[in-house]
Amino acid sequence: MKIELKNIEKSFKKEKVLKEVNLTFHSGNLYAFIGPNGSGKTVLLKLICGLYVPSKGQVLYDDKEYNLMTQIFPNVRALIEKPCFFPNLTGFENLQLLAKLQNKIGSKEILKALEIVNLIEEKDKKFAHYSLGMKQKLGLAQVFMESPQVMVLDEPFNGLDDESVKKVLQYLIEEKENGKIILVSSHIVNDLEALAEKIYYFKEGQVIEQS
Amino acid sequence: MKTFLKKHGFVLILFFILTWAIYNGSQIFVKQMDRNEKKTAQILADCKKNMSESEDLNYKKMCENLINNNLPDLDFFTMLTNLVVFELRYLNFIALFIVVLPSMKVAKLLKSKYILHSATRESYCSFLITFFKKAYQYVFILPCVGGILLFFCAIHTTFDPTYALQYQSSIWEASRILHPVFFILGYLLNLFLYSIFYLNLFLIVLRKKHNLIVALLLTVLLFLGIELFFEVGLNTFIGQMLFKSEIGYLFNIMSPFTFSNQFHVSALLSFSLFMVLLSSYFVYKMYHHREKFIMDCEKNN
Repeated sequence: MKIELKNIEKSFKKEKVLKEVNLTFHSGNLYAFIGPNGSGKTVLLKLICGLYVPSKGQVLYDDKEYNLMTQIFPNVRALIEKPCFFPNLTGFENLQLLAKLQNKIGSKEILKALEIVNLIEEKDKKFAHYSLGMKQKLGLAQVFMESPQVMVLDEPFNGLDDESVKKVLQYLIEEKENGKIILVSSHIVNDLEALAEKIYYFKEGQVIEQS
Repeated sequence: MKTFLKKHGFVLILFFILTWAIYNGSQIFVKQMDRNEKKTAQILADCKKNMSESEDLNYKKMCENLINNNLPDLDFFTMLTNLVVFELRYLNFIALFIVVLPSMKVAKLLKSKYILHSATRESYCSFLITFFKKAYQYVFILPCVGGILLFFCAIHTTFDPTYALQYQSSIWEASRILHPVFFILGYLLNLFLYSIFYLNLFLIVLRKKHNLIVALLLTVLLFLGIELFFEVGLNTFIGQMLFKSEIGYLFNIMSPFTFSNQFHVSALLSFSLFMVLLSSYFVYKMYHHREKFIMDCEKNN
């Protein structure tokens, strides 16, 4: 699989938050986006997973453009910013509800995802009673449960304990080796340096450096 | 069964409360009518006994009228008038809530920011289909309440309009009460159209405010604002002052159960339909832009 961003620009009212971004992502790689708050990395991730549409330019999946009113990007899952779910449902029920949308997986896969993020013991607690870290774990579990081809993760380690970070990192490495595209943003370089094939440094809506 | 009750429990309870309230209201009216009938029968018996001995001419005249004219049976429209104008007049004020409250599930859908996770799993169109299905699923509750009201009136009365015509006891004119089938169909259709209109108002507000209480309050304010615009703006300033017409009776958005008498049924239904189309257009404008909708979901708390 290949994702291509061609001359991407994004403006909100008159403010340009992304300027002429040209990037290509291939299967089996983990890409990191580093930059200070407000540098445009979250907006870029939202464009890649289809939450937003570019003001100019194209997002192509395997050279194909998608109309997001009637279509979705193929096999993409995302955790962007603060995870939100139904407060009166348990963590497990929330994931079940999302899994039902495509009916690709059952309880087994949901439980496996909860295991990866270390949330299996709290699966029957209501989301309203979750701590910040547990909410983040549930957000990650909803990305992992359907084993998507493309994972878009915005600040995925926020609020996670060290043990869970290790488990999640291990899972990401495995998935990368299985040919997935993983896109991760962070404002801290150390988190991702060892993992990523490519790191893009963002400033004022532009990629200023890549390594 | 348990799932069904969990899903629709609130609506079922609401429906039972309203049915009980309508039953209760109709019983109060029927008992009142029974008392009146007994009183009349007593007066009639007294007349027969005392008329020949009485020297009061007025009394004699009244007794003659009572003896010669048989009291017609209570009719459907008289009872309906009494219920919607007196015993159950609050139905008009709570109609908005009857429609909107069962739809609070959609407020939860927005408040939970479900769209942020569903957007990568289903298209926006299919999200909207789910959303609007949930929003409009109880649109029949108001016509059902109206149906129950008409049912209780029908079982206690006759469709022969003699009573209403003789005593002028119905708020609807002869042309309407002489065709009860058309009246009932129009009445229920009008309630159905108003249900959609009320729901549309709620959805318009909900698009910007995802908190249920705030959305409900703002819907009521919007509703009052529209009523004020029609009653004061259009009716008083334009209708009455410029055209000397009581056009305000057409805009009965606050009294859907009363079904105004001043205009033809088709005019009333045309106005309701116009309100539905206009509000649906605004709902479309509010929800058709996917990205703006997602952004508002992100911002709303």
